[in-house]
Amino acid sequence: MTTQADRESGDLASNDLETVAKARQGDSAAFHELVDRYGAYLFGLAVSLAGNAADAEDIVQETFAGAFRGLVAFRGRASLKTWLTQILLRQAAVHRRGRRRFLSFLAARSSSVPEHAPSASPSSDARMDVAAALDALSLEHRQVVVLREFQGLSYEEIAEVLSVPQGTVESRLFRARRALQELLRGYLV
Amino acid sequence: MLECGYCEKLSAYHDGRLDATARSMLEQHLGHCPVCTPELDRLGRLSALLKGAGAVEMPVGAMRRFHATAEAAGSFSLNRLAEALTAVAATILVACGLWMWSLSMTGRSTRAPVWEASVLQRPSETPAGQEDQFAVWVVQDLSLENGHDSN
Repeated sequence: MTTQADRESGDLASNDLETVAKARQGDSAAFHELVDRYGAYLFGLAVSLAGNAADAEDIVQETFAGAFRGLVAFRGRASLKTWLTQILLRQAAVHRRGRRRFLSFLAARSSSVPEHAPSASPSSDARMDVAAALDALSLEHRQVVVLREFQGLSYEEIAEVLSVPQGTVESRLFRARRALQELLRGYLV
Repeated sequence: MLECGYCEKLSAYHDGRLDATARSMLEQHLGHCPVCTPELDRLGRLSALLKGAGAVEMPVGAMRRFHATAEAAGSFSLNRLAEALTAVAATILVACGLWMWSLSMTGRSTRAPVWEASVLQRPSETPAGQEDQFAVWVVQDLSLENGHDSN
């Protein structure tokens, strides 16, 4: 049975293909349409992975720039949302490696840099602790948690984005949640 | 953390991923397991904590900056099209040039035909009564170009 969500998803995919075809012909309005359609979703995903809005914005910029330039490579086998998500995950990983190198450089120059800025409220404490806990996870576990918990993607969608079987998604989620329970146990009693 | 054989299924159960049989077995188990029941509660609390902490507003102007990227991509795409057309035109031009050059190098004499030399002669140098001879030279030159032997 076809559900309302399936129909909407099918309509969106068909709209996406039309918009991509226009963008390939250099139609500027089509590029803007894609930004309107996926800008907020990609930002939400990026902020969960990067832990802050400034880095997230950079990651989304790089994702759009890369996607627009490589639009000819989009074959339409997966949905545009899946394709953009895959690009963003890669950009986030690259960004993270760059940031780590920068932080190591700063740490080497000055041992007085505090690890965490003081928080202004209990809610920002929780946000920082969640960000730190996510940061402590392996890349594979962080990706699967963010896609499921923050973006609400189904196991099928996560499997497609990460190019792994659904069983792998299930086991990674189990391990990632176990690790987060340990890291955030103060909030879960 | 205490362990139970069913723990691995809790995450999938929490996401509603178990089939009816597996779900029914796990629910019977949950009624009396001191390990799984609190862990399932923690999974619920963890999801709520993550969702609450994950909501970050987009900075003012971020969408405008994303649109600027789209604008740049649009012009990049047009520039690329223009570059491609220029490259095709240049290739055609070079190919035509090479073709014409090769034609001039094969099967054609670089020496001017006899009738052409004659035409280029000044009137004072042209001997009288040479008009008939001129017509014969033209016919001879054309025959040679067409591969016929006029003799």
